[in-house]
Amino acid sequence: MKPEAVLTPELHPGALMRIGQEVGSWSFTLKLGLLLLSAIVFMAVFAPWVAPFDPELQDFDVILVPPNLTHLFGTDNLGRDIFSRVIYGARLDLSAGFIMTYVPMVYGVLIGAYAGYRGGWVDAVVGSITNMAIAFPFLVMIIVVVAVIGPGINAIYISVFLLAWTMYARLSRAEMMVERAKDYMLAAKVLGYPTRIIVLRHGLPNTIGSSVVFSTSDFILNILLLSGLSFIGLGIQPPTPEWGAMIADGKEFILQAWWICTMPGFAVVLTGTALSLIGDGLARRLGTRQGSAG
Amino acid sequence: MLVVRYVIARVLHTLPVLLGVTLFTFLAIQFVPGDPIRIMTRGHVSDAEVAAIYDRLGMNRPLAVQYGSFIAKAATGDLGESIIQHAPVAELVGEKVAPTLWLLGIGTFFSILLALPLALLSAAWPDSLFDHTVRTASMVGFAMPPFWIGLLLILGFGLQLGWVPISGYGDDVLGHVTHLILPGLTIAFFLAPILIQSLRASLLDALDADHIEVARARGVPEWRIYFKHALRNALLPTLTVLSVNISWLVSGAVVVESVFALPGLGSLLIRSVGYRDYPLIQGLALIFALIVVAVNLTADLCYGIVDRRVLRVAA
Amino acid sequence: MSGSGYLLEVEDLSVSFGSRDGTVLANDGVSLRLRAGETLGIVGESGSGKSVLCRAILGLAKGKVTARRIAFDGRNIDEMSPAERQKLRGSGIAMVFQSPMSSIDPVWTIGDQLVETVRLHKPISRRQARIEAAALLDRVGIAASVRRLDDYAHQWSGGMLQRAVIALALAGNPRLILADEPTTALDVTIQDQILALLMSLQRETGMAMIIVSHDLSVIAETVDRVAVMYAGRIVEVADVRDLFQAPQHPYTAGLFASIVGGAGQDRMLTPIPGQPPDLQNLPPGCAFAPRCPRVRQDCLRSVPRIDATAALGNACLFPLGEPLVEERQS
Repeated sequence: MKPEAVLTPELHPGALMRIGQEVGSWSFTLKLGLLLLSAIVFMAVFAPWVAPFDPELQDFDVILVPPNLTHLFGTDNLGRDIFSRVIYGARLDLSAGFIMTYVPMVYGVLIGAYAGYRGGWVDAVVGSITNMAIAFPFLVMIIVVVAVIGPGINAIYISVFLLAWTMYARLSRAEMMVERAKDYMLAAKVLGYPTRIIVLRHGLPNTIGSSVVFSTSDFILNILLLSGLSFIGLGIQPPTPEWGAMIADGKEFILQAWWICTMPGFAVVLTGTALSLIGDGLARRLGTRQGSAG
Repeated sequence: MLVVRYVIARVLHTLPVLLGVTLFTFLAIQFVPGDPIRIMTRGHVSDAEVAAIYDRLGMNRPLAVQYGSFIAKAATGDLGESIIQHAPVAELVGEKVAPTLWLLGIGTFFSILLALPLALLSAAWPDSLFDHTVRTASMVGFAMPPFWIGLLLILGFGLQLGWVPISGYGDDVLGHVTHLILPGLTIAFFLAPILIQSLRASLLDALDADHIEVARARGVPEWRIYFKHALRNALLPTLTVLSVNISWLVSGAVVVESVFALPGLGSLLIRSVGYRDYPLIQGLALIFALIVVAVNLTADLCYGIVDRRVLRVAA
Repeated sequence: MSGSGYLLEVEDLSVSFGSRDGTVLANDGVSLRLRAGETLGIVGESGSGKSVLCRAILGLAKGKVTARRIAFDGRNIDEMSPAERQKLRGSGIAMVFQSPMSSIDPVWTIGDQLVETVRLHKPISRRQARIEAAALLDRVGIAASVRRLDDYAHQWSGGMLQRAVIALALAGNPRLILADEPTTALDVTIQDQILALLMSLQRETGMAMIIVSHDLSVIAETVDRVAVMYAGRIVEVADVRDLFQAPQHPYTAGLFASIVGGAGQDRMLTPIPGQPPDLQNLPPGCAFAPRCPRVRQDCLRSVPRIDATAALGNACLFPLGEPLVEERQS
């Protein structure tokens, strides 16, 4: 092992083999979930190339056509291709869901870890705030914000950024309170490491497990939240394709053209299942009890 | 007595939540761009009348005073007055609260009805085909949007088969129940997976406990070990999970009300947004928080009944 | 009633656990016998297989159990149906476990569990059973027993809980009690009380008792005969006094030399050299050979077994009682 190899980390065969071993140890559940999710993400990212039609292109010659080889998911009452709209909808739901989940997770985990480590009044304050916020009926809060600033994705972002971090803070705090009594943490403290380093470099990697697993469930819930809000008309506005809004559009045609409502729903279910599989696989891999629902 | 102290402690714990929600709503409304009264009245009134309304509602006073006054009045049941509908908020809410409560009740009932046997059987034969099927179905069910399930149920059972009514609320108790079958099932699809996963996991955990082995050594038959000892111990973590998810249950109920055209608080809320009826929105937010808090309290009390250890830590 | 006169007969019992890394042989060809009213101690370090042995006798072992014979009162336990075995537990053989704090279901009252056990083995009413439950608590030394029936486990101390566990074990009037490390989790002062309680109950009821412990002092005070276990095998069985004064197996001698008070007051403690045995890869021949100061070539190839029908014996080719050939010559 040359000293240079330590100072300038490069991807050498040993590292690749270790990565290969790590991936090999993943359960079937985890791999299946990742595969599914990657496929969906791929289609979303490359939507302009994958989607056969322009999602907003209206063609009155082909309205309310059932699924066939040209229009895999059929068309809606304005002649728009549902398949393309679903793919474009994935862009919105996935990206919004991602932001809604992982942005609050970042500062939520940090706040929780710090509060859990410090204890005292910081912990008491954070603890009461999180306990309060978790009991808020979330959708109601978002609707209140919508009432103030109007429908659209911004209302959702504002509410989520204000409130969603609390669940992560709670999880991270609980884990940190267990972790801080462990010997390696006490050793770091005795050695004079600043709190910042102890919490970030040593405590955090070991307390992040349940938050990561929960994030997959949270992702699903956030997609459901966004689509639900759009369904009742307070979220994404037409004509932008979004799964929930599309389901709402199809509501009045449910008898003659069931595919308008049903297809976007399948997309949500598929994405959600993929995320659940990942969550379960991660839970097993990380050794935490808390898997996603199912 | 320990029990009384526990109950009082749990009730006191609910106050911060109620205050938090009302504060959030109150402050949020302050951020309405433009003039809220003008928005609400849509310019149908003159400037002088707008000023008079401001005075009457006391909206020229400092924020803290306004908030304090709202809380004080709310405590006595006065939630203000809806500008749009010219009626006390409390009255409007009162008319619509019943369907929502029915929905929540029937939804929870169906969820438990579905989740309990499935979780019990899954945990009795872990890793069996049945277990894997249940867990996969749970996973998929959790990912289904409630409004989507609702529509599918309407399509299937309501329109194609015509077995049950698909919208509205019915006129008498029997009517309520039949009208709430599909909405209740919709909620169950969403809540049951959470319950199943939690109950199954806690049953497996409970079965691992030392005292279970001791019970076997005492000669207690397997079925009684399962239903009497393991189950009761497993209910506790599941109750906690249920508590945490109550707010999602309520959120789901709002959407379900929209799908099935139920005349409940959810529909009222959605409409009040359209009208920018801020006093009504404020009152509704409080009521929703109250519902969540009440359910949580019930769960806490049940917890105290099932496991006496909890009563000690009442502080 | 059996013809052989033995209450418990275990012949050639083996218990193995399979795992991803291999099979662990927790018990290897264990044999022992007990008469009614006798007390036997089982001594060994952790991992010696003594707890597994108790569970295997009761039919609660989690691994694969094979035996030529496990008989209680003449009836073969291993041939019984699960229902019959369950009937036997609590009424024929009862067990006292190691950690009293977790042995009692926390969400039911102590009285409830006592009543449950009593009624399992006797068809009487709840009221009757409650009276019996209170009497049981009295017998184990818990005052104000009737009021105490409605207490929960979290309200009692470790010592009181262990008494309750003993009461639960007595509830079915068993003829044999297996006590697995009954005092290990308790304070030293309480340990004596519990042991004294067990002894007086044993005298009073005439039931047989097997006490398992890693603590030689516990064994010394309570039993008539002792079996020493190592690596899942019984290596020596002797009357308690003989064992302490003249241990035959080198491992037993090593045990005494390594504990406080065992080697005499002024001598230094001599730990047994080497590593504890790897139960997945036991060497052929004697399991103690790698660490034995008296080891010879033969030891690595074969090891004697204590005869199942013998009450005493040792599993050593060169026991301490017989001087080694070389020593005689020097």
